[in-house]
Amino acid sequence: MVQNKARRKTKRVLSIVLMVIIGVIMFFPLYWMLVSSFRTNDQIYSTTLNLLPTSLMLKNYADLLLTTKFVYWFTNSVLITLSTTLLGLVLCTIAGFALARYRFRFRNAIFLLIFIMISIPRFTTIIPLFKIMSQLNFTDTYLSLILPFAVNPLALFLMKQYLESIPEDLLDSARIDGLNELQMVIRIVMPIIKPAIGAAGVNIVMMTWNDYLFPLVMMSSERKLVLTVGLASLKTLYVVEYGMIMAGSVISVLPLIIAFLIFQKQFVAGLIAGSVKG
Amino acid sequence: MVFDKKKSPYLFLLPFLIMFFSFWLWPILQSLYWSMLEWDGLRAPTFVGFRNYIKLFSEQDYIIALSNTVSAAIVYIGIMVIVALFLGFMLNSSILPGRAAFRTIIFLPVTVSLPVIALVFFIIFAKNNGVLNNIISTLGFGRSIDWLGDPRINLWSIVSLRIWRASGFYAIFILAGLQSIPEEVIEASIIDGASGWKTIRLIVLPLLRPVIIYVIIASSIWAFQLFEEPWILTRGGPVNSTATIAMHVYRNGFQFFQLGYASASAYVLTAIIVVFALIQLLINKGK
Repeated sequence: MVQNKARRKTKRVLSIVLMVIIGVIMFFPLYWMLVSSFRTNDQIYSTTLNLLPTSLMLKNYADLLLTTKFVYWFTNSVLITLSTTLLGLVLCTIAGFALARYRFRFRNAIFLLIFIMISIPRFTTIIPLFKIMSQLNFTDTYLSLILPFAVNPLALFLMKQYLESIPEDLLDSARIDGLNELQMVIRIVMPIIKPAIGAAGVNIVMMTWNDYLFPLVMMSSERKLVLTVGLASLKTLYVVEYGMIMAGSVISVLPLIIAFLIFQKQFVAGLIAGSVKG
Repeated sequence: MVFDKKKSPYLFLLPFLIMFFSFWLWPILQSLYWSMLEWDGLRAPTFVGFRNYIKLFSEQDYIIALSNTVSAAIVYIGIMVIVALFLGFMLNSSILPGRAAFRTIIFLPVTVSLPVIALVFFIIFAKNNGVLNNIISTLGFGRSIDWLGDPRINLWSIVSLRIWRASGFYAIFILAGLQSIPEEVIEASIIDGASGWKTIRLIVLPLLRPVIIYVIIASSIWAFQLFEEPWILTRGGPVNSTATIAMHVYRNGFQFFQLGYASASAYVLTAIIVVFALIQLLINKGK
């Protein structure tokens, strides 16, 4: 018995040690990004190992804001992500409502078609999509990224699932009160589907904010780049302070990390429902 | 009335469907047709049937990109699933304090975009005085390793950062799966005398199978599209050692303007992803 207890204790201690080691490994790259953003190239690539933060030098941040188009890139990413998400949520809510709450011809066929598209890689569309966007004169504008990514089959699917659970009585009483179908969706349905909006929203936000290939292809002028493309482009300069790129990386990850820390539960639930890029 | 019960479903679906057709369905169909053209996007295209596909498989660079993509995807999925299982079990283990904080930390990497992660690992992996090599030499293992430049290991360096990013995320799925297994099932098998490892192998893992299959399919869709990290870190080099199919599509489509050829390349990639997912689903159904 005593031996058993001692063994259990060793096991517990070992597990905790293991957990701490894994935690440190998982956190280290993010920590290193932050520490490096305060360092010069010589300090980042120093001949001696120096893991602790040495200074709070803000020169990299100042250089980033003053010598690059970072402010444009950040603004572009914010505006594109917000518009894509807003437009996407409106489109997916009303379309999801139609698929979930009415019986009409071709309903199942339409749903099946959209559902299949969830697993077709987006990537397949990129060459014709670029041609379509240039014919519409949308390349190098926000529209070339907002329009394709606002129609998100995954978000529609999540919406439809949730909207099926709303009690029919609630809708009927809205109809008796004289609301037409659109008013009913806006005034009665939208306020009570926050979890679904959260889940669909998290997925659209993550996909848009973190995307690289489509903005790389669609946007060409330096001021129109999004964060991911702009930051990566800094690496190809002849002389570059890597600390400055890390400063940009820190700013670029902050919005999502802060949102994640505040809305952790909803965030995780939303991503699990949708399973985003990994 | 415009928004009555009859017309509303169509009106509600219309905006989504118009955009869905224009920006998803139509490009996918168009791309299939383009894959049978020889076309630079400017002059009139010529129809060449399946010749682009035949050309693909006789191009040395493409075969290398294909083999890199498939081996990177399989190694990534294999190791990632094992790490995620391990992390999932840790998150579910009642003897560990501070599991909530641990969960937060292992989940964080997935909120960071692949390009930013690539940039961070670019300085971590640096050959001369990068922090990883500095740690290794401080621990007394001497020689510095060229993580991104050595063609024997650079693909695996890239795979490792993907594993780092995704494992914690998929561990949450495993955790959800574990929590749905009734505790009595596990307890009963322990009382029956099954040891811990046996319980896991014979009872828990089979019950987790649907979750594991889901994780494999979900991660494979993205794994086969490997692009951002090798593109940013190595541009596919040196000598194609980190070239991927997605990179082949990008180069041919947007740098060499071989729209037909690039479309064929993209279609092969799509076919691989769909077939891989179908195989997984069949395995799951068959058992």
